[in-house]
Amino acid sequence: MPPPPNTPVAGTRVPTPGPSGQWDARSYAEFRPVHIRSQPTSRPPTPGRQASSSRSASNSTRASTPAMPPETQHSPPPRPPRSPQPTPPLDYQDLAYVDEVDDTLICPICRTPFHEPITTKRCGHTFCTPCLRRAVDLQPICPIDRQPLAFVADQLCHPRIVSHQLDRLRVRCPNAGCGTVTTRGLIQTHYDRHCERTLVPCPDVGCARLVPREDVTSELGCLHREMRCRYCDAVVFLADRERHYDADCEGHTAKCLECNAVVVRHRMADHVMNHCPEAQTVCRFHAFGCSVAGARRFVELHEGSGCVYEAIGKLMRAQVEDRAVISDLRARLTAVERWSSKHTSRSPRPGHRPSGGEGYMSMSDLDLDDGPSSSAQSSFLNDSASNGAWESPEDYMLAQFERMEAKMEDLRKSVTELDGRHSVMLLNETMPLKDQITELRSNMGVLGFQLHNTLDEDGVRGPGSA
Amino acid sequence: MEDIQNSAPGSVPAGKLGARKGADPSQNAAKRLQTELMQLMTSPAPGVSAFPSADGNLLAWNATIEGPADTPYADLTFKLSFEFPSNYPYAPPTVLYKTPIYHPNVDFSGRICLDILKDKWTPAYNIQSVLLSLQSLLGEPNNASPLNGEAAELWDKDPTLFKTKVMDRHKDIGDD
Repeated sequence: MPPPPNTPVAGTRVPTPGPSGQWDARSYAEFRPVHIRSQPTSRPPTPGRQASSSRSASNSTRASTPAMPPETQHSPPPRPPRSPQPTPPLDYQDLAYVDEVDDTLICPICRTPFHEPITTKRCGHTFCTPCLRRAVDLQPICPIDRQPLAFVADQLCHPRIVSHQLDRLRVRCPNAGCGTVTTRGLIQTHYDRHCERTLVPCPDVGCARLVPREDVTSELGCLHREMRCRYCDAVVFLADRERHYDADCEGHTAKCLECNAVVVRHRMADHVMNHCPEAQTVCRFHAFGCSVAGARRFVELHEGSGCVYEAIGKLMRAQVEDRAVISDLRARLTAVERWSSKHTSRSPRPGHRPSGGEGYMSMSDLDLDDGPSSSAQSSFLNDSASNGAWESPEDYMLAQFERMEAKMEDLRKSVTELDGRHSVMLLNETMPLKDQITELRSNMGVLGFQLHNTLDEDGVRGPGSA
Repeated sequence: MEDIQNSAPGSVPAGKLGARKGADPSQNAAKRLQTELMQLMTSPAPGVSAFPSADGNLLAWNATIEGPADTPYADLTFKLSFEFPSNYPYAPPTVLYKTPIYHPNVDFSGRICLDILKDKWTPAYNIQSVLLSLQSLLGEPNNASPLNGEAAELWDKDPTLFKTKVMDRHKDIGDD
């Protein structure tokens, strides 16, 4: 809630407005150094501020000359702590839902999706807990079918499935200017802990007002001091200035000089820089040689119809990116070199380059299979400090590692290949064997069967003959 | 209508409301009425309509009901006014016929005798359900508790005369 303007707050120091009745840029800068950059001195003149060139000049000189010591404006006298207003609770009835909410999830009393749903046990009707409590307080009946109902635990229950359904609805953060979309189950956490636009108690213990969380920083202190608006003569709290600019300020809109569109003054610079169709601008590919310039709508037309420099522009851009990568790599290399030189300087430095480099193991020479590692180590040490091919032991080691890795990879590949070949070979060999075994087995079965038959016949014949 | 507006707690200076906006009942009423307005706009019921009165006060609405076919009120349109208490929907709105109507349960100043607008009100009713109830009351008056005794008598005894009286009484009024 904006406090009425012109209300002096006890103990707050009101920064003196500039002689022109303008926003005092210097006192403004004290509180919000980030914003002073976006408060453009280069802002193009707007109607109604025709005389502003001299003004802004005086403004900037004022801003640069320390006419008044900043302490006179800083550090308001310490005030006794006041009990601060609590952060306003998240109002579930005010939430904006991204998707359409099913009618079955709407409370018949408040007509918004249930907040803390509660169901009557006897008739099974569901309401928001606060809505039902209030209704039953007035009349002890179910609001839907007028069955007697008391607000006691054994007549009511909390439908968990409804809560889960509600938690999955997507909602927008209720704070103006936040725009976060999240599920309803998470909105409370977002609002309480994360949203930068949530109103929280002013960091000044003597101040009982609320400020958005993003404005609570130690260097800003209490933002509830009055400032004079730059456009109208209204006196507003520093904390409210954005809202004032965007909504209340009497002079808050102005015609753009170029395109006659009505724009919020506070956003005029942005409008001229990025949106105004008549503002002078240059082609996107100006940096790559395109000479087209003029009103934005013409330039946009030109860009839309395909600037000939577009292809070059892409290449150039890629090149610029590459160059950035290269310079980054170079910087890292320098750092590594510096580090290595610091380290190698500790070891005795051979003053000359070993002739022929007998101990030197070049990339091509390196083979894991031959040469004991100790010799490799010593040669590495010998070499690295002096040989120009390897500027630092790190590089050398890295190269070696890379090579080893490549070799390992090769080995792994060949092992896999070998493995595969082996298994195929094995399979090829075992298949006929298996076939033969099966054949033999069936032969055995036939033989056994015949043997059985023969024996049986013998058995039959035996007693008969006997 | 004016005094309603002035006495409504919704007209408390905004600066006084502070952070506890949930505690202010008229805020809840306004919110609920806003939701109802949205629902009436998106899914209107046939034969009834309602809209906040032009002065921008959400606690006062104008509504219209079309007389249902097969009743003496067929093809007639009736204007009504709704005045919502600040604790709506926990208390019923005050509904009046603005168009003169000859009906057993409506008196000559437009007051309506309908239980759901009195003791049978529950917060689950809304503008649309009230309008639909009033519409069905046109076809099925409660002649046991009439505000207009003559009409209650004629309804059963002489439907033709009843219809004539209805037509005599009905006058379209302006949008004031």
